[in-house]
Amino acid sequence: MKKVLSGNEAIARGAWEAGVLFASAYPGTPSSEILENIAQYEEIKAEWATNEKDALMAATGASMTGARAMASMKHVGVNVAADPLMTLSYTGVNGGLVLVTADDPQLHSSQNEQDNRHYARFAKVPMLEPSDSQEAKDFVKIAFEISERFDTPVMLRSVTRISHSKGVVELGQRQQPSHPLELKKDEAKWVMLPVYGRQRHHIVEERFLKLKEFAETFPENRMEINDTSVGIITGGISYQYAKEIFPNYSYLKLGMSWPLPERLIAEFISKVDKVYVIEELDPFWEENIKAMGFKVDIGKNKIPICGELSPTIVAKALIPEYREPKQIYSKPIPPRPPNLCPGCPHRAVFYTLKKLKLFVHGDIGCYTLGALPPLKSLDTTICMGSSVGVSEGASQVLEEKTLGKMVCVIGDSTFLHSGVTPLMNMTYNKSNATVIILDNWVTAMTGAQEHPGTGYTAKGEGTIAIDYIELAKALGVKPQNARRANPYNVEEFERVVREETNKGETSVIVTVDAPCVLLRRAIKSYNEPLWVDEQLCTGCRLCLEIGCPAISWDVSKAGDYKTADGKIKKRKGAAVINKMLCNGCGLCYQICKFDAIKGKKEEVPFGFQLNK
Amino acid sequence: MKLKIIFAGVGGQGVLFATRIFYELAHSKGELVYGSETHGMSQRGGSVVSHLKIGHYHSPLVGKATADILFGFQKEEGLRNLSMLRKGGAAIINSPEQLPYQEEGEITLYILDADELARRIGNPLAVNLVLIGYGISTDRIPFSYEEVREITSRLTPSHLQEANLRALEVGFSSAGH
Repeated sequence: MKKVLSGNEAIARGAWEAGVLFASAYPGTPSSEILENIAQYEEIKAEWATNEKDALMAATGASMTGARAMASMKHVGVNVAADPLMTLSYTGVNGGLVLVTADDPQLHSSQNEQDNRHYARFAKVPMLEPSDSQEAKDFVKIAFEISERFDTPVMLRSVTRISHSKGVVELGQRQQPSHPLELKKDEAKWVMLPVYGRQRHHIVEERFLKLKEFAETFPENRMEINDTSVGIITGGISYQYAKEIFPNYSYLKLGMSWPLPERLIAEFISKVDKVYVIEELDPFWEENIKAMGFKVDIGKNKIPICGELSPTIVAKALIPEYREPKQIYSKPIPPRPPNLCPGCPHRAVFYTLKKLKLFVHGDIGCYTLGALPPLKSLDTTICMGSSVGVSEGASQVLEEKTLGKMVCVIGDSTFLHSGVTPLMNMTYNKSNATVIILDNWVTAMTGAQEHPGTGYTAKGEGTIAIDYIELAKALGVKPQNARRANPYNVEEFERVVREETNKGETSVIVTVDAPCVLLRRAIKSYNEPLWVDEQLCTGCRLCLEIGCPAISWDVSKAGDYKTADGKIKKRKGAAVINKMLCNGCGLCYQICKFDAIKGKKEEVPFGFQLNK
Repeated sequence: MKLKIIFAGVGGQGVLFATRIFYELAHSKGELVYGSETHGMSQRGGSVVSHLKIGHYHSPLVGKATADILFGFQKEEGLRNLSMLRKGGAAIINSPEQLPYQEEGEITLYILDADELARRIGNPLAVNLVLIGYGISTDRIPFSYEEVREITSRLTPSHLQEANLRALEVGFSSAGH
């Protein structure tokens, strides 16, 4: 049977067909849908891990028992999982183990665009790279075979344009798991004491030579000999872009990105006049091919390193006579950047932090958007957990100068992922910093995945929910410095933030009753939309400063207007609320100094009716 | 069949569902399909563009000035993507007014106030289906109304059946601007 699948759906299907018994992941664009889809297969134990390192360790444990196991994550997640990865290469596996890295060239939704092919070389493990959904499914199965045959973890690299592209896939049957599941002692393989690690390093090097040999005849490293005036060495999504632009040239398509088949490359190069290496991001293949002593005529001397490729970019770089088609419509259209949703609890938080003129260390999640205008109240973001980590260092250097001046914000999922240990670092080292945990009850940015604070597993079963206040106290935050506050209650929230940021001790504020507005499970009912009383709106624009998509500016209301008490005043325009978008969170209602924003009820509630 | 379609709108408009209708339909007729979607940040009200190619291709991306059809579920997003159309292509755009683009002969514009029609039938979120219905009525898309209706019905959860099919019908039987 054939079905249209995205690359991520195909990877999930491949895991199922390969007889995988255990899968673990931390959500991250563009990888999240892999585990979401795996979780729908009854035969596979699928888990959201607290972070990518936990995911890979859990997959390793499953592999040790003989089960086929998969860990999936976005490219930067592999940085978190790099610690187990580097030594897992030494121990090898028992049941096959595949680590899926979904890279994000162009940073569609990431903090960098690192090229994770380097990890395969760094960890000395093989890496497969599919170029469409069908290959995504097939390569997962091949990856498990390679993993077990060569006793190695195998990396499978996708990119956004594979993970989120659709294609027709021929479905197969599930292969029944054949390994016995057991705990088997083998300390020379599994205990990486120096004495055993030294032995295993030799095994890794021998394995690498065997894998290189395997790559020479691996059918997915294939030559397509046509017009031999140009030979293109490529793979992954770049293969498709190149084929679209140069359908007639000869190709060496690398299904295995690492290790490279040196003899096959030599044979291919001997058949063609000129050699092009077309690859996205770094000159990874190009440099390695040059290091083998071959000449590469065109590579990164023409093709950009930064950003993703496309057929147009390939054509522009390599065809001198290529001209960009003229713009049919050339008037500038203002960009439409992503924004916090109407009613988002983060907006209320950022309004307060901006009002208090705080320097805000931020983190990875929807709330990173707080850096964009008009909120413009988030000042740093590096990686998962960095808000807490960097606040600690800054507070130590600046000492009391940070009091009432600095705060950090981190989401619930991000806090559990990477914020717990830096918070302990704060209390242990007597930092005076304040951490605001933006608890919106879910991993929101990536599309509402569960985590250890939500009370549900990846399979939707009920489980424990971490209590952030109790956790903070256990980490050494004094009980009086660990507080809950509702950001929709602007006055109250401001008071709590002011008090905590002025204390000379580590403080934690957890937002309460402020779930993601898109989380249907959490919200019993939204509020009635609010409206602007035209007789009261002075056109001060304060409500526009919160960047709510539901509030816009109406210039047609400029000029003289009659106030409620009959006076004539002047204004430059008035605010207007789009009732299709407004869900009555009450933030603008509270901040309007002229009581111009009205709701059906006498008092607009702080946030929404919740299912608790 | 060889057909390239661009779907452009903003987060929350059902751009991906619109794309799905066409790739599932093409697939059910035995055609190859390739598509590329934007996820992640675009859920937050940002621009969403989805590429669909029906027939044998390599790249899932539609190159500039090569698309046959552009669905613009929102006026500015439609204008932003006009240059994706090839000469002779058709733009089917949701807009309350004619577009400030007049060059005759390059492309054909089909304009419909799908927001208003969707509001009128009490289903303001079904702009995507209203516009698709209208697109089918233009004869620029090689699928019949019945085919599109059947696949839409198959992909729609039961509690939305009536409303979604009504939206499709309203778009199909409208005459545009």
